[in-house]
Amino acid sequence: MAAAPLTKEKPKTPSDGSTLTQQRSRLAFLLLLPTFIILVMVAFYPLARTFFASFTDEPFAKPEQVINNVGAANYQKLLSMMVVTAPEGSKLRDLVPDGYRRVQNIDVGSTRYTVAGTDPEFSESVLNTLVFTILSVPLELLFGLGVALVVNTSFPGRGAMRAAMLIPWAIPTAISTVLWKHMLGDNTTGAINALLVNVLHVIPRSEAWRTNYPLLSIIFVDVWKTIPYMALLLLAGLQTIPGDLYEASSVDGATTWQQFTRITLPMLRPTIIVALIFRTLDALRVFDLFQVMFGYATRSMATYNHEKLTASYQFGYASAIGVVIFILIFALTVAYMTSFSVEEDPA
Amino acid sequence: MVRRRDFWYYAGRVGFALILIAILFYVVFPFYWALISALKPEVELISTPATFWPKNPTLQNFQAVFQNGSFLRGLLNSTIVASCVVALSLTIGAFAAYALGRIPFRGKRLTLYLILSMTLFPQIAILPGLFVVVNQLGMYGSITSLIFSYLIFTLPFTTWVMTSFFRTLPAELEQAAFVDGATPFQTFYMILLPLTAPALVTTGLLAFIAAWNEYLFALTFTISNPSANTITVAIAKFTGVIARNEPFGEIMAASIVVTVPLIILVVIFQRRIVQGLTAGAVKG
Repeated sequence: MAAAPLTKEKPKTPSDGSTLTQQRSRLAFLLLLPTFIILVMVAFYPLARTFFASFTDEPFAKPEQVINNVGAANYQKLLSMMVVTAPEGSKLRDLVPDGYRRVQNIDVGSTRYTVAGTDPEFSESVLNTLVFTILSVPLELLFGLGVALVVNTSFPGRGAMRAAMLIPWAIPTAISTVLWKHMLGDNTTGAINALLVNVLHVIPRSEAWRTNYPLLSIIFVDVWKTIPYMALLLLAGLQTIPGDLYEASSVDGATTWQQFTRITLPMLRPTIIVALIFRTLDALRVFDLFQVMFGYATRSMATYNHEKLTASYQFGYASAIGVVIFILIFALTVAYMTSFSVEEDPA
Repeated sequence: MVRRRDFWYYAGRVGFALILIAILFYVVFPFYWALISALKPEVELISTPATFWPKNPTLQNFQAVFQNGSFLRGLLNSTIVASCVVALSLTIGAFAAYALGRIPFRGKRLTLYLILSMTLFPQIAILPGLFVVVNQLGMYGSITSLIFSYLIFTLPFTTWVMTSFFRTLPAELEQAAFVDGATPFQTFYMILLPLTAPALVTTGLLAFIAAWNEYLFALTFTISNPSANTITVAIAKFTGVIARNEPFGEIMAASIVVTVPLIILVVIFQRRIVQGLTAGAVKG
């Protein structure tokens, strides 16, 4: 409001004031119009189109085919799941209705529970994405905080260090994943194995990381890419904490640990929350890492969606997956925002 | 007592230096590995165990990359796409940001929230619908589809960052211009826009990097037409097609060529990039 080109208090006549307001509103509308048109075309219309297609069996890139309304069938297929106890020697198909297949076995004590679903690939992709998110985000936050605290102290070459830290963030994810795909390999191009076997002698022989530990490999690469970025975000937060707080507390005899838990962490809270939100939402829609590293062998929700769209040509079904991802991310965003009541205004 | 303190002091310094070196190693190692692999001749690449230094460095991998048509094409496509996306989103975003940052009007708060929420929009969720739009506009299989669709993530972001920048400008500037008889639009492009040059550079740079690095849309909308592939798709395909006999050295050389301009940009504009990245994340 302070930015108003004219003080609003005393319009000469009511009609004059309303003309100015109208003029301003019209200008604002005109200036915002291009942005709105584009956002409608790239976001809102596609969202609506995806939503409506998710209730059909529309195929991908086959305009001649008849499209049928299938109601909630796509969602039913995606989300139907059940748990059965599977006694030894029993066959799964005797225990579950037609169309259900095994997602995962869970052993509790001596009882084996089998989770079955009508689309096990989707359930597995959700599971992979959740495991990936739950493990990678806290790791990145923890290590990112550590690195931020280290880089926040003054030492020679600090500027160079910060520039180096931006490198993993600046390399396109698709390309750094290509790099890591080779580095994690078990042949001559596998730098990690060369390092662990021949230099550090930690493991006796080369390990096929990507085949045997797919999720671990992905998390490792994501953590590599994101720690420096996280550290830079937190570093910016650290630098807004006034130095007097630390001085005053050391006069009062506070230890370094007390300073960390009583000053640094509380003051850093808003930054940590924002970083957490951004990273969680990013992690839930992870695509590049999974697609480049595994193609469609080990899937995330996003690569499964992409596979159904471009490899299976199931437009309607892929749309339903898109809607599920959207709702999941939307719900999580709202939950985060309300539980932390984030102040969203630009400073 | 004094001597003990000295010992711990130096031990602390050494420990600290070791931690720094470890972080640096972790961050830079993949890039280093790509570089030395790109410089190794074929014989060294397939020898076991892998070495951490090229014995007979050669530039033949780089030469091969620069004779590779699909790589050069990808480089060109990415440059065109990223430049156009930056130009478009800065122009359109600056208009919107001026309205949001400087002009009082009804429904402003809602508009701001809407644009902020767009920065968190999951692109994968609307991929099927976006495909339809791209197809209907006749853009499928051409780089115009990318220039168009990348606006979904660059435009809200540039608008948001520039809005907060416009707000920091002093109101007196506009008032003076108004008194001198300038229209609001003149005030915008003759007075305020030149002042936002630093913000334009920062947001433009971040938008460029985001567009340059994009993979999902590029893969979906240009896969049918190799001549429209961007560099990320070209390099990812490089590895995928011939799985058995991958030209590892060349892939590494290509990755280096694509990454080096970004690293130079990042080193030059380091401070600005960090400011831009943290603009939304830190209050104050």
